[in-house]
Formats: sequence, structure tokens, C-alpha cells
Amino acid sequence: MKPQDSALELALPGAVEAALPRAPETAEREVVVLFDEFRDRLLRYVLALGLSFHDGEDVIQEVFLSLFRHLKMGRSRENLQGWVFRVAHNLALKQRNGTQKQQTRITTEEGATAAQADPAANPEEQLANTQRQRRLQAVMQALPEQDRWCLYLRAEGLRYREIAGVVGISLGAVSNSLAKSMERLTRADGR
Amino acid sequence: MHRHDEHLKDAELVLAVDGELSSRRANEVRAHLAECELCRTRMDQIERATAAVARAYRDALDPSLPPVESSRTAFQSRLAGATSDMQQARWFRNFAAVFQAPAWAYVATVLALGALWVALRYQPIQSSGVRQIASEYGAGPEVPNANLTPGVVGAVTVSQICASDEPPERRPPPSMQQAVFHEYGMDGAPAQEYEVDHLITPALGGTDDIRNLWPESYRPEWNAHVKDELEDRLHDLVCQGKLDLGMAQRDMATNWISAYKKYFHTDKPLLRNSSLVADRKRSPSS
Repeated sequence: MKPQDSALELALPGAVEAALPRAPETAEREVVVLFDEFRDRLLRYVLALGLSFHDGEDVIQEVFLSLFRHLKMGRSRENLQGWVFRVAHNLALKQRNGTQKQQTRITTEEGATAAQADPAANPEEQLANTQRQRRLQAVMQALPEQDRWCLYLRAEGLRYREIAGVVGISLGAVSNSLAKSMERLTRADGR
Repeated sequence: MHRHDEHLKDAELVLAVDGELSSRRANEVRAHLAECELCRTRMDQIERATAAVARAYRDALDPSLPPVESSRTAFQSRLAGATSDMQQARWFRNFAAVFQAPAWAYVATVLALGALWVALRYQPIQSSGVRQIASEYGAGPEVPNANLTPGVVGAVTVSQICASDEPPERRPPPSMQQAVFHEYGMDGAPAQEYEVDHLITPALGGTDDIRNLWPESYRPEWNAHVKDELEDRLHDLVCQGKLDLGMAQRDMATNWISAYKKYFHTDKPLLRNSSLVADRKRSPSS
């Protein structure tokens, strides 16, 4: 019996449950821990998809409420990282497509002005780094959106198989997308 | 299929990094890489580009990420709401189970139903998509009865609230206004001296639920006009991203007078409100 099964059993519906003391709320605590673990990465990702901060925060809250229900119902805990990114991705696209008003799209291009210079690098290195980043960002912005999603998700540390699940394409399609992007990026990155 | 002397394709190199190739093909790829400098260089380029992309992506977005604390707090309050939603849903499932239970379970269930009735009547509870908020109000002319009016909000997001420049209608429908007077045992009270007001304004997600409405007098120093000022102020703060929506709702429901003092940094209603009161007292028609 897996550990979560025992907690689940205590919470099983029974006729007298309302009159009994409730089981410790492990799912609540667990989901808050997961919130802390994934929030920054998920928020960064949905901002990269073009959501405003408000919408981004809203989407993240919805993701973790869904995760809470998911855990509470004792559903699969396999690859929760892939799960939260998939839900965030879908909610973000839904939110973005549903929002009619003008959005402040946070592109990596705009964000670059706010980028922190590497304090360890000397001025020439900094300049070279900045130029290199500009070049990369320009190439990234020119990529088809689905290819960008794959790059962002890889930057968030997802495996290619997880990326396939989030974007809803095959593993082969992910590797082809990445290969295509790499061809352009390595050209820009200077051989 | 794969010829030994053929160079490796980028897609395959990418999959090899994640260990996604079949073990036979992975061995072939390893063998090829050991011999072929061109493919090793290509692999290295891909890894460097991937790392550079990740760095560019994070550098662009990290400086603008707000700290996690306030969003965690907001999440925890929504989580508390979701938990009581689920408890209620479970209660309905239990209701069905009762019909297959032994006799002692019926007794316990009847007791539980009684307790639930009391809870529904007097405690803030959850119902589908609608959330009540605990209130600390005592009795008094400026504040609602916490049992009758704990405050209720709908499931709205900040973007929905801030989407329109037009403030939502402040006044509930007349039939609801009468019901509120009746609930407060004030059937004969002079209606022009009161505003049937939302405890949590619709501009902050409050609903027309009777548990969010109370007859608020225009007379005391802390009156309905003063509260309107606070509502406008909190709406602005929420839409400017300076205040969490859940926090604004809680502050409003818990004690709006304390909230006014907190957000306007004052112990007294501001002057402009007092003059407004004087105007209203002369012509209390609206």
C-alpha cells in the first residue's frame, strides 16, 4: 500500500463521517509545499507565453487548486512536474485567447532591458554576453510559437518526454522542433 | 536503417541527451560519437545553445517575478475555500450512503444533520462558486450583524473585476432590499435613511446574496458614504496590483471601519466624506 492510500482511506465517505473528527489535512500541506516548489517556474513560463502578471498569478492559483483536487481524489502522483506544467500551459492559452483587452506581452525581447548583468564578468565579457543574448532572443522571437514553447519548457528543466505531454505533440515532434530551433540558434550563437 | 558512417541528426542527438533512444541505437550513437569529431562538435554546440537559451530566458523574466510570499498567502485562502467546498460535496455523497447504513448510523446522521443545519444557519459556509467570509462585527448602527451578513463573494478573478471601467451597480434589486429589511426586523424603518449595502462591494467580487447585504444607515459618522470611499480605494489598489483581492475582501468583511483606518491612514472619516454626509442629511432622497 502506497503512503497516500492510507490517508485516502481515512477520508473515504462514510455515513457517520460528519460526526467523527476529520483526518489530518495532508493534501493541503502537500499542495502548499508544491506551490512553493513550482510557483516561480510556472509563473515565469506563463509570462513567457504572453500573460500579464495578474492573469499569470490567477492561472497559477487555478493550477494549484486543481492539483489539490487531484491529490485529494487520490489520483496519480506520477510526474507531478509534467502535470502542473501541462495544466498551466492549457489554462494560460485559454486565458490568453479569452482575454480581449490589450495585453502587455512580456516578450523576452522587452524583458532583456531589465536583465541583470553578470557581476562576475568584466565589461567586455558583459557586452559580449549581452550581444549574444540579443542575438539569441531575436532568433527565438522569430521561431514558430510551438517551437518557442519547447525551448521555454526545456529551459525550465523539463525532459523532452514531459515537453511532449505539455504541448500535446509526440516525442519525435519535440525532438524535430528542438533540432530545427537548434539549427537557427547555433548559427546565431556563432560557431 | 542507420548507416554507421552517416552523421547523426540533430533530433537524434537531442533525444540521446535525455536517454530516450533504444539501448541498441544508443550504443550505435555512442560508438559514432567516439569516432566522429564533427558530430561531437555538433552535440557540444547544441548543448551550449540550449544552456544559452535557458540563460537568456531566465535573465529576461526573473527580475520581474514578484516574491512568492503574497501569492502563497492568496493561494492558502483560496485553498481554505476549496476545502470547505469539498467537505460540503462529500456531505451530499454521505447523504446517499445513509440509506444503506445500520440504525445507529441513522441516529448519528440525524445529529450531524442538526449540527449542519446550525452550521448553515450561523456559520460562514461554502456553496458552489460562492464564498462566505468570517466576520468580526458586533452589534451597532455602523456595522452589520455578523450572523446575518458574514459577506459573500463570487468566483471572480482580478482581471474580471478590473476589466470594466464602469463600476458595477451598487444597489441590489428592490425585492432583495425589502428582504434585507425584513431579515433585520426593520420592516417599518424609513428606507431613505438607509442604504441596503453590499458588505463586500460587487467591485471587489461581492454578490447580491442576502448574506452579503445589510441596511446601512446614512446617519452615523461611519456611514454608507464613507464606506463607498473605501470601496473605491480598495478597487483601485487591487487593480493597480498593490493589494491582493482576497485580502481586500477579507478586510472589508472583517471590519470595514478598521479597514478604512488602515487604508486611509486616519482614525476619522476624511473631511470630504463628512461634507458629503452633511449634503446627504439635507436631502436624503437617494
